[in-house]
Amino acid sequence: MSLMAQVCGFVLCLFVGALGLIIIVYIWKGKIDLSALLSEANGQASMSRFQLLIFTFVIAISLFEMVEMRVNPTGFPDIPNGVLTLLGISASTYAVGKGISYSQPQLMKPQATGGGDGGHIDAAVAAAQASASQAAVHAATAQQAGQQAATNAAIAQQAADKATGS
Amino acid sequence: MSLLRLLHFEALGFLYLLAAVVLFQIATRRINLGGLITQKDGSDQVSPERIQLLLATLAASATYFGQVATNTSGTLPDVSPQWLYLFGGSSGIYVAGKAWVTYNIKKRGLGGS
Repeated sequence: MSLMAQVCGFVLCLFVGALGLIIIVYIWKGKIDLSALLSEANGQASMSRFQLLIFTFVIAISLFEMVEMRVNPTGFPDIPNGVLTLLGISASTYAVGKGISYSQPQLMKPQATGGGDGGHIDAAVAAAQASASQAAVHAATAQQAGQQAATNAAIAQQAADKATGS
Repeated sequence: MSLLRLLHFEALGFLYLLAAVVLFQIATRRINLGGLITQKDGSDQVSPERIQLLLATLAASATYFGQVATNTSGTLPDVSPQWLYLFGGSSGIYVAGKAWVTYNIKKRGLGGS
């Protein structure tokens, strides 16, 4: 029974480790997209999301560090009320901020800015403009070629008429 | 190495790696931080309430990490009431500023229509 428990424990450890590693690799490769992790619906970064992210990391890492330091590691370590209050303030700020933002839909429309997604929009507009100007040049060249072909046809027609007349 | 210790190292490793990946993506601008400290009313001006909240967040996080690093009792250190007041006040200012900007936008929208 003890051996069975040991084997199950190691399989569980292996599974958790592999899962964590796969998630990290997928994030690194971009298969799990975190580009909008801190963005609001309008594409700009959200201060309350950023704050919540920082506190989540700080508390989570601190908790595991404390587990490591415990002399008798049985059960889950107690989380002090101050920490819970801090996380509560942070999460409440986030929720109230979202409520205020979504009360005015105009604020949540995508905006083109210098950085982030806005930068991609600007780059796409510039590429489209460059393509349009190239297409205009090609169209002008084609028109010139068409006119040249018409002129050549007229000359050939005249030559044919002369040849027929003589 | 016991199973508990192995699981603990896995969890801590995952958290540190995740934090490192998020930091890297922020540094390489794959995670967008554009507009983090600017007004959302279209003026793109720097917003004081956002800056003070950012500073309060970084200060509170750094202080808490410092307490954790020097703590040897094996329990999570508590956050002092002074820090909670400071942080609550900072968040209140941020929310009030956001509400004020939104109210002004709404007023402008109603006036324009």
